[in-house]
Amino acid sequence: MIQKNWWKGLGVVILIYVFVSGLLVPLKPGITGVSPGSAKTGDVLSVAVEGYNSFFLKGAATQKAWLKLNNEYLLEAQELEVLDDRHLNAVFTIPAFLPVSGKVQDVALILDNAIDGPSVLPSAVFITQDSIQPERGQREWPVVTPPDLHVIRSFAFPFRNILAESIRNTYFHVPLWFAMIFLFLASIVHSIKYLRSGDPRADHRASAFTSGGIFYGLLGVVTGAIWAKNTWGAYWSWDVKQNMTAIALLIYFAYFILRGLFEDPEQRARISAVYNIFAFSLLIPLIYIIPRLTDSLHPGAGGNPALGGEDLDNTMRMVFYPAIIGWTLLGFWMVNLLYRIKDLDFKYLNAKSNR
Amino acid sequence: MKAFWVLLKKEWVLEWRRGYAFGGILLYLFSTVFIIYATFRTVDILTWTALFWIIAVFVSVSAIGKSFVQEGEGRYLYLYTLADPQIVLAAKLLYNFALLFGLNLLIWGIFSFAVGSPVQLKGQFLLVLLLGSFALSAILTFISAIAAKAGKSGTLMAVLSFPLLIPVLLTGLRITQNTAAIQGMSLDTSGDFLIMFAIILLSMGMGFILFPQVWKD
Repeated sequence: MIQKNWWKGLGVVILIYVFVSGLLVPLKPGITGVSPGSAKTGDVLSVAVEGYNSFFLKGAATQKAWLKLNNEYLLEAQELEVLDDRHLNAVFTIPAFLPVSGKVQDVALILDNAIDGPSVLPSAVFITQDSIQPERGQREWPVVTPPDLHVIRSFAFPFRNILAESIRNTYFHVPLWFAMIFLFLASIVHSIKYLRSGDPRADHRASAFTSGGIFYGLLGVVTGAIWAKNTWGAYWSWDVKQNMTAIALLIYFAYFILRGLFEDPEQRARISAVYNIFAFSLLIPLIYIIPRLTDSLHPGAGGNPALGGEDLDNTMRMVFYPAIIGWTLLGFWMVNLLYRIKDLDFKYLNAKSNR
Repeated sequence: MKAFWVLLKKEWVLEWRRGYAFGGILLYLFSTVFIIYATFRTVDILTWTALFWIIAVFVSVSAIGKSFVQEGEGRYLYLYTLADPQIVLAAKLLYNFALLFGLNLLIWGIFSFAVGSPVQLKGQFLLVLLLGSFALSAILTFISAIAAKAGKSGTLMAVLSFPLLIPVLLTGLRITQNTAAIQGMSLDTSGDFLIMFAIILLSMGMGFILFPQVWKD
């Protein structure tokens, strides 16, 4: 029993770990807002900064703030006034000219102290200049000398602008998709098996895996839509990834409609296996084409953060990879129950008709 | 090989004998274009390409939908004893391709007549029509075989094939929009043509591999 079913327990244990750590581990400190968000050259700019999960009071002694322009220039705050753990005021004297020839330039705000470590808000302040003299600006803006920022090692997820707490969806939405693909692949394998052997149990498995895949697909759409509401502002915005999902789900709904049309189980199994394989092979170009057609807001497209490189940091990896395994195992367990019911149904019907 | 040509000829003869099938498609085409003209009057490039491909898809679905349904049970069995399933599929496919290509040219002609044609790069447009017709016929011929097995061809054809046709449609749209671009502004569409080729290869390859399974009973 244990020897045969260990993977089910493993899946549940992993998912408990994913839920607990994925939902309870805090985010690293970040900056949620600054006001005012615009300034003119020559101003003495006093910005009120709102922190997130930050400890400005504890770190007040080592607190520093900078405005960063184009990765080239770094302007340190002259004065810092810490109000509480979440709020501080920083005063910057903005030089009379910008080192760039544009009229408006965005600058990033960087905070750092010994407790929180560094946090960045891109495009925090927009600076407008009336007369454009980049040469003078280049002289007046201090060139970057990399400040020694405090490196804090803590078990916390990174704070990303806009994403904020919704970054936790990485452990639910994304692994659900991965698991869905695995389920569909398994369904294809069983469809091929059916066509080779004609074993009705292979057909039960193929259709059960498709049901499981659709279920995960719907969960993926729902988790994605909730996330999109909080970050993009709408549940459904006809983004290419959403369209692709819709098409893929349409194909698999069609699979079940097709199954429902046949009276003869042997014919139903054969034709639906054929459609399953045919449709899946045509999904491959779909997955490659549609993302090429237009820009997407989805993470991983158009410069939005996603799985690659530094976007998925090591703390997140420690939850993300187990999440893929956990969701996949749970999916296989559900499918396992489904096709065993089908097998039993089939046996019962056969026994009845033979009597 | 001889069986192939005989079957091809059979498709052609059948089409001619049942004039109403072909006539129905033509009428369908004319009335659609008429409605479009009556509602739009003038059509910009984006709408033109979208309408062109949507009409092409609907006409293809109704033209090919009958492809296997018209073979009754008895004739199925008869064909089965005569030829390899692959040859049957190949004959149907080639015939449907020729039919669709002709229909697509006709849609272009009627469109140009009624609302004008913004296509500048005529060669590229012909090529995308050719490849698009091939991809549509490869997918639809196979799906029509499946739908015929289920016995209910009308809506089932649409349900089964539309999600699969979307990549063809989108790629065709993109290339067509490019052929309508102002001279010298056109982009490199070789990637899209490659995708079209990939769809054709995949759908034909899978079709030929899987068709014997659909065929046998």
